Amino acid sequence: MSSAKLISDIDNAFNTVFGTGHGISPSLAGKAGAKLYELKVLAKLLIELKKVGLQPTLVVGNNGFKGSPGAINTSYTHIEILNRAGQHLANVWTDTEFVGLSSYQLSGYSSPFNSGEYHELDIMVCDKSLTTGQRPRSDQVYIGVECKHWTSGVPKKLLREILGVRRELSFLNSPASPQPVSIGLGVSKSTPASELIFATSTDGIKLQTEWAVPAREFDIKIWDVQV
Amino acid sequence: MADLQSFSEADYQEILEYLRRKVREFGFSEADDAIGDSITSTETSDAVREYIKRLIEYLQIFSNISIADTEKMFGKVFDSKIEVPFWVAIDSPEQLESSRRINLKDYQHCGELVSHLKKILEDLGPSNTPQSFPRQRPGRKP
Repeated sequence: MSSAKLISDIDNAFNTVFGTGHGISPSLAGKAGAKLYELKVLAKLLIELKKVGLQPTLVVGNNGFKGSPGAINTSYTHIEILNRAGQHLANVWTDTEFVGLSSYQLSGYSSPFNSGEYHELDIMVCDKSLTTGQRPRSDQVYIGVECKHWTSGVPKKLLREILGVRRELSFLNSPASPQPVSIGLGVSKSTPASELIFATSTDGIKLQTEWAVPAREFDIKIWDVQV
Repeated sequence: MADLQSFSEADYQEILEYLRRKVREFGFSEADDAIGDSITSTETSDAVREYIKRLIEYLQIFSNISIADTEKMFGKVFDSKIEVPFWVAIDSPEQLESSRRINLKDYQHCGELVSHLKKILEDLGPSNTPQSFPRQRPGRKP
């Protein structure tokens, strides 16, 4: 076999899979992979919420789940979180931005002026009162999840990224009063006491050791959610 | 199986670069970056194999098994009669009219790449390079 034949085989493989008739847009395949992983992690988060006695209720929006960063938009699919008494406590959104505490709390701005003042979370459990066009402030975020579908060798820059998210969510001090919705991750040093999760498809167990100290000190939970 | 002697170092390089170009062309730039940065093989011949193996690992998210598993997980949360739609809107979330919606289940087809890649891996044959310490990364972005 020649390298030309092998290259031709590679070409055929991609053209066969991404050829017309499958209804898929080849340029979006990578994004679809990331979103499929986010849905898997979302399902795990909902299972954890259910374990602590909360009831997730699906609200199907006309536009599906939100797949790009932005403010809350109620036309997208989301999940309402109810307690045992049926009281609505919070909502779960995908790809939604929150206003960092550097913006509203430290600067005193009533609303963010620039994009650097808000940050995306792949999955967010937040205050139920927020509606279309609004971004929760960091104290209105109850649970945040960052999802990374990666191959082996998760780079350390992702640790810095999640530490940056924590920095904009909470001050490091104690004791912290609990947020209205929790899955019992034991947040002890962050105010507001939002729960922050880094979910990864590979290296999760390894990272639970290698990133153990900063994760513990900054109240970040590492989830090993394999595909 | 391919005749291993028919591939020179330049051939392997060409195959790796072509494969990576295709991967990026089909929207997997982030995966290509991640895989490229993590390749440890010192020989290009092994780097190609390592790249394909990790790409196969990455593509598992599109497998029927993985998607069925996600649906099963949702089934534990909601009434079993409720089907969670796998529709996702991408781009311009604030401007719904210009936002594209995709059904993630359609992308299960990407999982079919795995069988093709396994065949290509087979055609490359087993590595005949002894393990050595990394000296450079042939997996750098093309």
